Formats: sequence, C-alpha cells, structure tokens
Amino acid sequence: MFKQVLGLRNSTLSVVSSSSSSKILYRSAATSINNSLFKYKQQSNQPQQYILSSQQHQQILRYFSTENNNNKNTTENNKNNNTVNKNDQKEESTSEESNNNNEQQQNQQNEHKYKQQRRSNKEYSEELKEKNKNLGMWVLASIIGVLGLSYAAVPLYRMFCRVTGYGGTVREASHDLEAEIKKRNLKRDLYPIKVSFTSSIGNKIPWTFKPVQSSIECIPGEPVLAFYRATNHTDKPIIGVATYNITPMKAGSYFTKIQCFCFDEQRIKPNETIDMPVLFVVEPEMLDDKNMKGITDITLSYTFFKSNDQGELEEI
Amino acid sequence: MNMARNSAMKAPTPPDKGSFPLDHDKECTEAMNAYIQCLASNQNQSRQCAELSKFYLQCRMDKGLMAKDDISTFGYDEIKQSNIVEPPPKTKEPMIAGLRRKN
Repeated sequence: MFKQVLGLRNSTLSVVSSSSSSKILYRSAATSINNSLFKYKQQSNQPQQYILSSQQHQQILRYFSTENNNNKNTTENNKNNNTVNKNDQKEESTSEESNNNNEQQQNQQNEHKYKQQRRSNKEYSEELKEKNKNLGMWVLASIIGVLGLSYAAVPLYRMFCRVTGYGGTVREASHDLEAEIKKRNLKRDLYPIKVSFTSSIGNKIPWTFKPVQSSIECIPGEPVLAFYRATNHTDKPIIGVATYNITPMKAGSYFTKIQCFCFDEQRIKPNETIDMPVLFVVEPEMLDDKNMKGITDITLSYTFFKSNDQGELEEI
Repeated sequence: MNMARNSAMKAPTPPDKGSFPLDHDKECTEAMNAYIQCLASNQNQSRQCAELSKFYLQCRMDKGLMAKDDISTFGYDEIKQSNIVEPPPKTKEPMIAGLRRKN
C-alpha cells in the first residue's frame, strides 16, 4: 500500500518537477497525497494522523530545495559560468593548443590545397591557353580552307560541267555528236517544212544585215545551208554579236543548229561585205509531236548587236 | 506549266559544231554563189541542192574556215532513205472559245 502511494507520489512528483510553474501542481499533489493518506489512515485502525512519512517529507524538501537551487543557480550560474569559462578557457587553452595544432595542420593542408589549386589553376590556365591556341589554329585553317575552296570552285565547276554536260554545256567529245547525227531514223514519211529567214539590227549599228535567201523548203532530218550578208558602211572595224530566235516558240526545241555565226563576236573590217553561213537541221520528231501538228512554217530570225567590247581583235 | 516551259521557254543552246569563222578573204564565195543560184532555180528546195552545199562545206574545210570533219557524218545521206509525202491538210475550223479542239 505504501508502494502504491509512493508510486502515485513518484509519478506526481515527476510531473511536478518537470514543469517550471509547479507549485500549484505540487500543492494539488500534496493534497491528493494527504487525501490518499487520510483514506489510508481511515482504513487502518490507527488514529488519524496527518503525518507524511519521513521519506515523503524528504522528497518534498528536496523538491523545494531543488527549486531554490534553481533560482540560486541562476545567480550562481553566472558565477559558475565564469568559473566554467575559466575552466573552459583552461580547457580551451589545452584544446587551443590542440586546436592550434589542428589549425596549423589545417592551414597547412589548406595551403597545400591552395597551392595545389594554384598549381592546378596555373595548369588549367595553361591548358586553356593551349586549347585556345589549338582552336585558333583550327579556325584559321578552316577560314583559309573555305577561301581556297571558293577560289578553286571556278575551275572545279568548269571541269564538272565539261564531264557531265550539266546545264547545256557543249560536250567536247566529237564521237557523241557523230552518233547523234547518225541516229536520225529517216526511213519514214516526211513532209517538207518551209523555213523563212528574217534579220534585224540593234540600234546604232551602221551596217546592213540581210538574209541572202528569203526562205528554204527543207525536209526534216536534212542538213540545210543558209546565208546572211552583212555590210559595214563605216571606216572603222566594228565588232558585233548575233543572237537568233525561232518562231513559233514551241518549234524551237526541234531546230538544231550544227554551225552558225551566233553568240560569237564577229569583227567586220571597214567597208566590207561578208557572208555568214548557217547550217541547221529540223528534227523529224517534230512531225510526230501532237503539239506541233499543223506546223509547216518556221521562221529563223537573227539580230545583230554592237558588242560592248570594241577592243581590237587580232587579224586572222 | 512544265509543258509550256519545255516547248517555249527553252534557252538558246549553242550550236553543235560551234561558230563559223568569218570568210574575210572571200575564198569560198564561188561555191556559195553556185549554191544560191541552185536554190533560186529549184524554188528554194534544199534537197535539190544538197551536193552544192556539201561542196561549199568541203571548200570551207579545205581553206581552214571550218573544223575538218567527215561530211558523211553530217547526215546528208540518210535523207535518201526517206519518203517524201504531202503535208497534212490544214483544218479550217475556227477556234471557238471553251470548246475542246477535235484532234
């Protein structure tokens, strides 16, 4: 029974001691203890005694003393702190040494690291420099390479065109041409096509330019020869360039010129009359083309312009 | 669009054998005059004067006014295999807008 009560008391005391404003609780705890004791005393045959046991009393006193001690401690604590500080200092002094050692070690380590870093920084910067140098060389080389390519592109393109004949470049292989001319299949019905010739002059050219024959009735597939006559009326040689045109436009693809005097600068001496031939073929495929059905007349018109470059050509 | 481009918009292509050099010294004018006279007398029919045109070209080649080449490759001989017919009659139908032409 005592143990039971003690257990109660211990628990209440523990509750009380844990809180700072504990006096009220303590009083309630004390009254509860008294009540329990009172009950106990009533139960027993002994006379009522409001007496706490010595153990309880000591505990209560101890509690009070700890409270006071706490208060005292707050004032004493400062003193104690000083002492504690001193102690700490002492401790620190001892620890400082060790700390110093540690610090020194750390400093050394740091310095070491710093040195390492510096070294690595140096190395890094050096590496960077090297890398930059390399990059710079590469960039310079690529610039020069691209410039060189752009200069080399002209002959390269010419070579490419010559080999592949891209874009209408005239191929130099002559056997291909022979094969082309021979390939015309003329074992078939052909009706004649009338080719008319006209001429015109660009402005301000002081010469006359006319076809010798007004028209020729030719058969598709047959090479036809025609002539143009130009007369230079001035006392100075003139350089001219001729272009041609075919009407109707869609028949232009079937008109093959074997040789002519167009697209090339022609130099005529002063007061000279010159005959310029044209050798052409009308393709027989034109007769098969449904688009060309009904075409029996083609007009070839030449236009002579004064060349921009009036430099002196070498005398042939 | 493509058809129009193919047939009408074809860029002028350079001649197969290039450009004739000018005959300043009039070395082949006789051959030329003979050819022109032949044309005039044959109603400008080229097939009657093929021989004379060959003669003129040969003259040019001999005098260095033309790149030397075999005349037979020009195609003068193949035309003899062909059969010359009358051209097809031209339809006199007028063109009516919107109506599909009967081909």
